[in-house]
Amino acid sequence: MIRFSNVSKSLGGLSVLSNLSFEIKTKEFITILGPSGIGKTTILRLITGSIKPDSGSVTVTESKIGYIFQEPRLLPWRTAYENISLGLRAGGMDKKKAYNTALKWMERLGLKGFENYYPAQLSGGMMQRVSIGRALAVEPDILLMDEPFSHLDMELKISLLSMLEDILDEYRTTVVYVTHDMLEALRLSDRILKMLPGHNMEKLDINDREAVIHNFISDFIRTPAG
Amino acid sequence: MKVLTSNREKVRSTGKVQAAPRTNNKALYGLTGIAFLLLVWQSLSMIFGQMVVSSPLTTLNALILLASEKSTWSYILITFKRLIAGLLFGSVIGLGLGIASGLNQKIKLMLEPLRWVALTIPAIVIAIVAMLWLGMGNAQVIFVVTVIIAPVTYINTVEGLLALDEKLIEMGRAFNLSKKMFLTEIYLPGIGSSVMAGLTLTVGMGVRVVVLSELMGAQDGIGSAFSTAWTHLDTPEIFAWILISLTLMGILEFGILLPIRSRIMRWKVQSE
Repeated sequence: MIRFSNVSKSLGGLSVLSNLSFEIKTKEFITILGPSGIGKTTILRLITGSIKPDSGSVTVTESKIGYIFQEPRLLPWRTAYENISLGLRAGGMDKKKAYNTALKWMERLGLKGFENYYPAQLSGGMMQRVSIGRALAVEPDILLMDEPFSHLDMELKISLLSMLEDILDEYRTTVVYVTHDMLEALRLSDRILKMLPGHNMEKLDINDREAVIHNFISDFIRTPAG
Repeated sequence: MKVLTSNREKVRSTGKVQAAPRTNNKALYGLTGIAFLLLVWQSLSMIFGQMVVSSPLTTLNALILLASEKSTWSYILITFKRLIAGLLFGSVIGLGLGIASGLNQKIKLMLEPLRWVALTIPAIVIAIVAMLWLGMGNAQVIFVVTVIIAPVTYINTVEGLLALDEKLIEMGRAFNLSKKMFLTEIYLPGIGSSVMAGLTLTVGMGVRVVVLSELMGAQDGIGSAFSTAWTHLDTPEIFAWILISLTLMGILEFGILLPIRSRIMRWKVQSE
């Protein structure tokens, strides 16, 4: 379970979050939706504990966290399978076992044969799959995804989304997915938290699809062209 | 299981196919450079005479003569050991302090005056002070090399850490890497390129400094041999010792440093 209670956070003198409160239940797939620069990534960083709130509290009951970043963030000096095993080794697994687990994930992600390739030798989509493998290999209690497919082309994005859906059906876990794409949010989540300008947050019930789509169309109409 | 590799997901070229001709070209350019140097050397010898500039052939004869003497090899070994010791001490100290400074701004500020002093004082002054403090011999020479090498390694380490991608550090934090893993997985490989560039620079400096220190305050080693040859005004022998010094530098750079560099930077070479 993740709970934000009246959380405020400023970065570089700029207020990013103000009195934010919400709760995410265990094994819930939640999407945080909102335009760029509104503080979505800050929420993820608060969950990992890499930054602390200025006021309020963030409670995270699970400890194993997997993180898929917007860009792969792979260690360029480590091979694909060494990158996947990074989180496992950080969790205390011995090197050999971690490498074997990483190899299984490489096969699962369609990367068999590329184990000893360095990130720069892989395509963008392959690198992102290694990054997905790194996050999932630790069998996380909480999986954080920060617009992981935003810089990929549509064909690749759809392929990776399908793959991720299949895996998450198998390994059900708490997922916090950050995106600005309403259609992705509708496709994947149990619940949507929509961040609005002025430090407001709207909670959208995914079961009431009509209301969600209405909300989406209203946003679309309001967005200035160009 | 789905086949996920789309047409657009092609693996990038490893560039291995083009490696061979490039290497041949490099060797050719290198040999041309050496031939040019020999030509300049011979010309200078012809212009100024053998007393001032010993010709390549006369130097080679002197070198053969030196190679037959047991003391020559002993001097080379002594200098080599001093050089390795100084380089090791200087690199370890520079690397250690560099990592501490790169990760902690307060330590960096505290070490800044020391770095400035070590970089500014001329090598010859350090050699004189070392003679006063440590007498003549091993300790003095190793001390001077260490003091000259450490700040260069230090600067390269700090710069390497500062240039490290902040996003990788954030990734490490998100995956809860231990301090040891941060060091072995992120910091040390991340500064590899910068530190190795610094080490290549310091090898040349090291040879010069060790010879200078020996020249001033040692009874043995290549520097001391230079001193003897100079006293006897034996120009061919001086030039032969120059060649020996260059060979020593070559052994260090190409025989030791280059394989280490290739091992550390393997990922970069394969990615190119």
